[in-house]
Amino acid sequence: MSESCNSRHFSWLMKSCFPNPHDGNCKSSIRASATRNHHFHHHRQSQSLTTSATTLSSLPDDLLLECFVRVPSDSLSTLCFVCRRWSRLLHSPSFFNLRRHQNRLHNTVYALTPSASGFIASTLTFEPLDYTIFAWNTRIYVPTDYVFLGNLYEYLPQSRLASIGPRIFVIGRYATLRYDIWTDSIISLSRMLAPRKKFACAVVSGRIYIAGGSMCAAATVDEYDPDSNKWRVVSRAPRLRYGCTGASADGVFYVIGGLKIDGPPTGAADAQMYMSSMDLYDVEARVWLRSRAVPGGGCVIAACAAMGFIYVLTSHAVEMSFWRFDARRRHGGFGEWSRMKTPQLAQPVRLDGSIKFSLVGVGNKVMLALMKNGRVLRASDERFVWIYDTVAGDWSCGPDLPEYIPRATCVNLESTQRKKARKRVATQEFAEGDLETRSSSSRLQEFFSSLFAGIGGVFSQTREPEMASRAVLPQNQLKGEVKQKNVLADGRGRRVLQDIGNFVTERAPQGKKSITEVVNAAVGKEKSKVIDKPKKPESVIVISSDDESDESKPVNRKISRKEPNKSFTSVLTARSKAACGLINKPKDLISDIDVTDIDNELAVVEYVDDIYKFYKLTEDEGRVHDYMDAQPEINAKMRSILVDWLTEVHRKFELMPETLYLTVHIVDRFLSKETIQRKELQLVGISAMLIACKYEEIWAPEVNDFVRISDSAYLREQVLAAEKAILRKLEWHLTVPTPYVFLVRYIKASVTSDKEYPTIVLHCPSMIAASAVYAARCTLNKNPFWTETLKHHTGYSEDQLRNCAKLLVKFHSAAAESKLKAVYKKFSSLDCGAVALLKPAKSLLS
Amino acid sequence: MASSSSSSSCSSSSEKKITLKSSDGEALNVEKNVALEFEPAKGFLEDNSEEADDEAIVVPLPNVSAAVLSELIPYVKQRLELSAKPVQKKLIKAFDDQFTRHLSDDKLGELMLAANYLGVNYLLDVLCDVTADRIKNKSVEYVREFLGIQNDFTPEEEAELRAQCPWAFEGVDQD
Repeated sequence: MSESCNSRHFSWLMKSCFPNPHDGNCKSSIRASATRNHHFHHHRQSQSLTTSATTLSSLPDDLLLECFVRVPSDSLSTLCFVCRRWSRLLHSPSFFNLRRHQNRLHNTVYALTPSASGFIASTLTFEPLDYTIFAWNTRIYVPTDYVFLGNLYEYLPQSRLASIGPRIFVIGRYATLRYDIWTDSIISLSRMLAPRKKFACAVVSGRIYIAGGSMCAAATVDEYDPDSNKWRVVSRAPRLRYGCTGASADGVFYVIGGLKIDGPPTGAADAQMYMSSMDLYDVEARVWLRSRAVPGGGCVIAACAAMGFIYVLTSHAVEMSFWRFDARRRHGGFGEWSRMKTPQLAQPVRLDGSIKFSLVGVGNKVMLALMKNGRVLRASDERFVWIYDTVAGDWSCGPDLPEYIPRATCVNLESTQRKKARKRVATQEFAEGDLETRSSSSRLQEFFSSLFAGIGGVFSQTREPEMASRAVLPQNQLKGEVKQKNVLADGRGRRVLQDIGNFVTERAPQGKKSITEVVNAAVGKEKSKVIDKPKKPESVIVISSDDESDESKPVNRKISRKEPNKSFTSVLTARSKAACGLINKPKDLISDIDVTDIDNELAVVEYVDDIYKFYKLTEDEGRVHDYMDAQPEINAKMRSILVDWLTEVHRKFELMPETLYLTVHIVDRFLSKETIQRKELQLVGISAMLIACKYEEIWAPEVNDFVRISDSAYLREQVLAAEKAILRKLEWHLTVPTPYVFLVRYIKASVTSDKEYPTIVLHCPSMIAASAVYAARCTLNKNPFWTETLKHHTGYSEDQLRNCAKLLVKFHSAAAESKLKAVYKKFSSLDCGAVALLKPAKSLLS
Repeated sequence: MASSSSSSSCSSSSEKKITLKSSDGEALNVEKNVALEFEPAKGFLEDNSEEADDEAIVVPLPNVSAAVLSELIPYVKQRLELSAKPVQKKLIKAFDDQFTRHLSDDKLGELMLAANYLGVNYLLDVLCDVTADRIKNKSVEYVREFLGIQNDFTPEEEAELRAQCPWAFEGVDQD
């Protein structure tokens, strides 16, 4: 996930289309070896390894670090795989210190909640320098190591978090997990020596220290070394504390607060002493320093370290106080307490089992999160966040934690990684999705817990929240499409659709009702079944009438609908079919592919044939001639680079598939009408995608997102100007049949759910789509390759398609070796069924 | 810090010559202000400042070869001239770019070691930037080959890493 699509890569590829005059001999020979066949490549590599070790590789650590510090964060994750030494250096504290020194670190607070299959992580990113914050982003992480899959939920709730470099360690009673934000992977590590819960945990100079907690092991302080993946006992604790908090500053591990669990039960005063004091362990000297008592005698409810101070929040029966302990040991004031401003809570908080405070030090800020689980008290949930500015000494409100985070453990991670624009889009979607179900917002949490209750189909789970938030998207889109079609049809005086248009308006209210119905039904269902199987996406997504609907049908929900009686529409449909001579085929050979959708209005079975007939009629209008000869500065290679990059951007923004097709279509049509300079090609791509997004998406990315994803290669104004220019050139004619619309239909006819689509512009869209289905059937060895049903719906015979399909298969087999990987990568991933990894249908080529 | 001290002395003592002795025994004559840019030389000169005749002083630089020194000296000289004038940063950057553009990777490493040893921080900065630029956005395989780094992961570890994040090995840029 963390690969980037920054435009340096893009511009670099553009340059690669031309020989670089500055290239020395050595470089070009490497390039030659890289592009030649694999065997040769290997040969050369082994040769170079044995013969020469360059001076660069033998640089001392400090110089290498100096170089690494300057590498953009996107590349760091790759570099740590080069060799052990590099990996060690990149994960070393000194690397992060250097990086921090250069203000190249971002503080991100991770609020983690374990679920049955992984984590729900909400992140709050603080910009460097000014610590600007936006909203919480939420993601679900699934461990790649499945050993603990079933146990996570059980073992991790009382776990503690620690962050070292780019890694978060989740330390639970029976399991230790490590999440690496560079590689985006979760693996399990060796667990603590003896199980404990509610212990104190902190990181001191790259190692994790734990103390206190329940059960027998609490008497010791244990150390975890991430390099060797080993735990060991380093000391015995002077006091046994249960439910204590850990913090570290200046080489000292602080074990703060907690209940007394050692020795015979003594008076209340003794217990109070435990709750309002802290033990200090000097890690380097391996000695315990004098314990300190928090002034005021309140019991500690949260603590953290920031800027060399320890901040402690204590509670006295009804009110709270906030203290600062000077932990800078080489500083005169070590050990001094000062009372700081108390956060102004909206109402007095009663401390009980339902409430949880979490303090996190973030650079020179301290974040206080309050999580109140309303279900215990049958009250509303509260998840407030306040930010304390240690410089200004004042509190301010932060963005509330997302509602679906029932109870999180927070940790601050100083990351070098900067997740780009995509994240903000994702948040937006979440917020909107939330809005849709606002009426039952308190149930959202249950919805999520039921989502995660079931195991299996891990990858689909990671996508489900997205589905939920997009629940209304396909309908709206379909509606919008029909409506726009109408407008355009009127404008261009197309009679065919005008007729149908009447029925669209007639049916519109009904369709609208069904949308709310669908949403309510979906929500209601979740309401009633708290611990149900994971919500099947198809119950909502079915309306899109794309390839998924075939499989989803058997488990489809029952929403009572009237039977398809003989409506005016169906009469008309029958008539128009008869007029076109569509019925004179032998009926038994052509299976009715719409029979399963007969009670789904959104599949518009009555006139779906007409729609596609119309598409076929108009597809020639938008067809593009070969424009490469007319373009002085652009060649086919560059177009493919652009498309490749757009695919990557498209995936980054998580857009609808229609958008990509439309984008490519707009680019092609624009380029066939206008000659442009090479440097403007990417601009055209961006603007085309912007237009396509506005056309297809419900929540289109903003212009600034596009500017950012292209690494600010163009100004906002330029993008907007290009957008206008393109629209003017295309005469605002954007409702076009792209290969995608045919593909969904033909795939439905083919009843296979896989797709692959290198785009060939010279053929007409329906031909490409038909060939793609044909090629896919060949690839999967579905006999017979071409059926009468398909022939009927596509209007092409097997012989007509063979040439085009051959071309496609050729693209497919070449894709693996090609330099432009975005499309290949997209379809290699599991959620796309890894179709790109299938063997190309060689039989077709011979 | 080296640059600030030298800029003041550059006008007064620019004619005086100092002899630097490289690791392979070659003697190179340089202006005193250039020699003062090199920290070991500066320390040596300060220690031996009582000697009247600067010409007689031979500064040993046992960690730098003559080949590297002869590349370094013109760079430092021109860079000094540039920074003495009130020129824009752009010009200095262009000059640095020109200097580093044609360096081979071996040379880059050698220069970096030398700049580090001689304490020429501004050059070290530039060289680190260039190195960072050359290794970014590359695949693991490529960086290994490009820098001649021995892959010391065991095959099992390597396989695990590949499984973890295949994209790191798929080559962002080949070249």
